[in-house]
Amino acid sequence: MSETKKDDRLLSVFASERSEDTIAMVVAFILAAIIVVFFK
Amino acid sequence: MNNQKSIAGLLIGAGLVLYAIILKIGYLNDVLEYLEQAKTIDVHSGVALWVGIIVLLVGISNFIVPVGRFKHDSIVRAPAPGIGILILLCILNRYYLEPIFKIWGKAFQPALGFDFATIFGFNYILLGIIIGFLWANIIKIPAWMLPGVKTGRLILKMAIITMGAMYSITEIKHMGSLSIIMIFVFVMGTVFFVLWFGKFFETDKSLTGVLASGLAVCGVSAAVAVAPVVKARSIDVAYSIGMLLLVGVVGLLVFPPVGKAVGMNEIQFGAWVGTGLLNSAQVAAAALVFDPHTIETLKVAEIFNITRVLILPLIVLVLAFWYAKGEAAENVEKINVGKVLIDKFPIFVIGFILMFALMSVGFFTPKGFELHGKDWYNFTPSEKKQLKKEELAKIKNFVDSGSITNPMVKEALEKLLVDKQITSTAQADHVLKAQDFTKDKELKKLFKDAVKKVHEKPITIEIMREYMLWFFAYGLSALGMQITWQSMKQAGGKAVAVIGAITGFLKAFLSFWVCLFLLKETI
Repeated sequence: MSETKKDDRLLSVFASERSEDTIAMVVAFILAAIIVVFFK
Repeated sequence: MNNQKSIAGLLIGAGLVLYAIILKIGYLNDVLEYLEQAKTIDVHSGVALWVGIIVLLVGISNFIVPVGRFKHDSIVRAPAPGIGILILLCILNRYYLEPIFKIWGKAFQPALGFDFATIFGFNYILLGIIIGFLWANIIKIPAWMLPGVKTGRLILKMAIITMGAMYSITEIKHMGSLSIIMIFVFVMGTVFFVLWFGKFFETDKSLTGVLASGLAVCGVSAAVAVAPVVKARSIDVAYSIGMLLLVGVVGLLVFPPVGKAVGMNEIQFGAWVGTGLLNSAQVAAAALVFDPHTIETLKVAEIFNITRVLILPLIVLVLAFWYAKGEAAENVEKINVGKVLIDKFPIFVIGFILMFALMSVGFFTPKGFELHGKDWYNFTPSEKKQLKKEELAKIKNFVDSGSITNPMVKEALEKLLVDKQITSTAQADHVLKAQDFTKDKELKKLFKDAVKKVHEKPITIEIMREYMLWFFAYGLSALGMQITWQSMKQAGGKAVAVIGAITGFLKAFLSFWVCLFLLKETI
């Protein structure tokens, strides 16, 4: 793995990629659920 | 994050709130009207106000208690000032710079002969990356902003998950079987060709993955969607986007004269650009350059373009497995490849696929709405959608005149006379087609208006699309800030150019022969 890739991977506020993915999924689905509940 | 009190968040939050107030009072109305953005005031003042209030409150706490004192400061308090700046940048790009480039593009069109803003894709996405890059490399990113920039990848993933809701498998039923087969072969063929090519060139796997998606599907959005899946570096995405736009521009200049020279008809040319050209905006532009008088070529090109975009969820899944499998193979010390594959699989892709599945089963679609190609329709009977008596009389005269030679078109108009409004997508298509049987401009407008009356986008999709665009604008500005001169030198720019040029040429060349010899009058 190149040096730049290592640097790039550091650029996340989360310690692990799985927590980042989980948070992204939770937020995206909460937003979608809110929209379905209030606007559908 | 170095245990210091910081005033940055407080100032940026206050700035955002102040901007929202200025917008609401109406001081910027003239400017936004000139930029044709007056309609966006409510949304963008709302975003500025709410983000501003949150950043201001966190900023006050950062000013009183040093950041780093509490356990989750790195993800809660530290990013706030950077988030505020990125939101400001999104506002600048979406509501000021993109419209300015649009105006410039049109202003220079007579001199240049083309709209440079549309053709080179100067939209908020590209502008976000460029400004982010220039900021990081010329002014430098201050330490207080960096935690905010680091949230870019998270927001980009949220954008991609939401993007899943923009596709529906039900759309495929409206596509012709030939367009589906042809597009599927070309898209998957391109993916596997680029993956093989990347291996042959010994290109970095992440870069190969981004290129495979961008070259196979529809350019920039496909490259961006796959970037976190294959753990791409910012520079991989930037190079790929640059290459895709450049190959697209070359295609735009080459396709129309070649199509004319070999005497392609509208269907052949539309299918060729929809398959062989790389970027959606350039597909539409090339179709209009070839055939500026009717929309036949554009319609065919769009059908092919939409079909290939629909394959994106499959590409995301294929590349996620391909990348995870490669990572698993590198970990030789781990014996259980299946377990490593599960460990390495980016789980946000499941979110994307789940959104796609939910959209396909109509979870986000309110009752009465139907998606047809790019357009949404609402056929629920209502007076607003009905044609007036005199309009119906005009159509009746036209039907009775016997000038319609197509029985399907005639049937659609007869049904329109009974129901007074359009009731299905097939009928909408046929009513639009009725324009071909008359020269009466009023009648043509009447047909278009009848379809327009049932055109309606569900509010659910509009809201989701809106915040998805904000997420993309945010994530890509942050991505631009992570590209450095040094990474540009290290990254495989040459490989991108070679793979892009060869694949772009091969795809255009092969699809040219297929369209010329296999397609005749129908798709």
